[in-house]
Amino acid sequence: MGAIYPRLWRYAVALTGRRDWGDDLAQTTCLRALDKADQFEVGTHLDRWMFRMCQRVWLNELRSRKVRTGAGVMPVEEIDISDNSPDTEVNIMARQVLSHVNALPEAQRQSVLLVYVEGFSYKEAAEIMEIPVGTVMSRLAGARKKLNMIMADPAGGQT
Amino acid sequence: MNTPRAFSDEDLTAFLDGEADATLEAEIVAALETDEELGARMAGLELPMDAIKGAFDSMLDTAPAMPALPETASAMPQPA
Repeated sequence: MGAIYPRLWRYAVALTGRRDWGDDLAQTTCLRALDKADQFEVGTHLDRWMFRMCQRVWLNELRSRKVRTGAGVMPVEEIDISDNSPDTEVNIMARQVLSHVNALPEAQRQSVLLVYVEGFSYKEAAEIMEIPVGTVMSRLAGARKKLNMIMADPAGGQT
Repeated sequence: MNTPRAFSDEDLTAFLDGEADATLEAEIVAALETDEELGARMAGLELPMDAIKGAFDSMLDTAPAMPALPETASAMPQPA
């Protein structure tokens, strides 16, 4: 589980849109995984199982927040996905990319992370997110369109 | 009838992601030969994948340590 933790945390940050929420979510997911360890089928992929659990924990959390506050979920405007690493050119670019992706709607952000960063196939990503493959495809199409518009810089941005 | 097939953004996305089935892929490749508008639409969906992957990979180094887990941690399954 330790080996997966950084990736789980990154997924949790992408899901929640915030590093501090990602910290909490990754932690809660680990505890939940321990709780449910007997449900894990040996021979299947632990990372996918934990990613799936992570989403379930997050959706529950959103539901209970909604109940507690009686309001919808706060829009994630905070661009808090990157850390305070030194301002090297590489870091500045990386931070820009992360904030562009973070500005996407949650479902698109999550799909981009699973398919374009983690390298899961549509089918695998669909299983992790517990949605049809067609939905993965339309989320990615939407993400591509938006990101392309922002990132395609005629002055020669990041390519 | 030889009406050009209309491709959705999802079709083009699947094509770019290498997830289009053989038929769709062949149709898009053929259409790209003649259909400039399709080429432009495709360009409008392209992303700097290396930059995206690289940016997210740089996050991994900044991940917090895994929290200490309760005793039962030893019962945790190992990665497949």
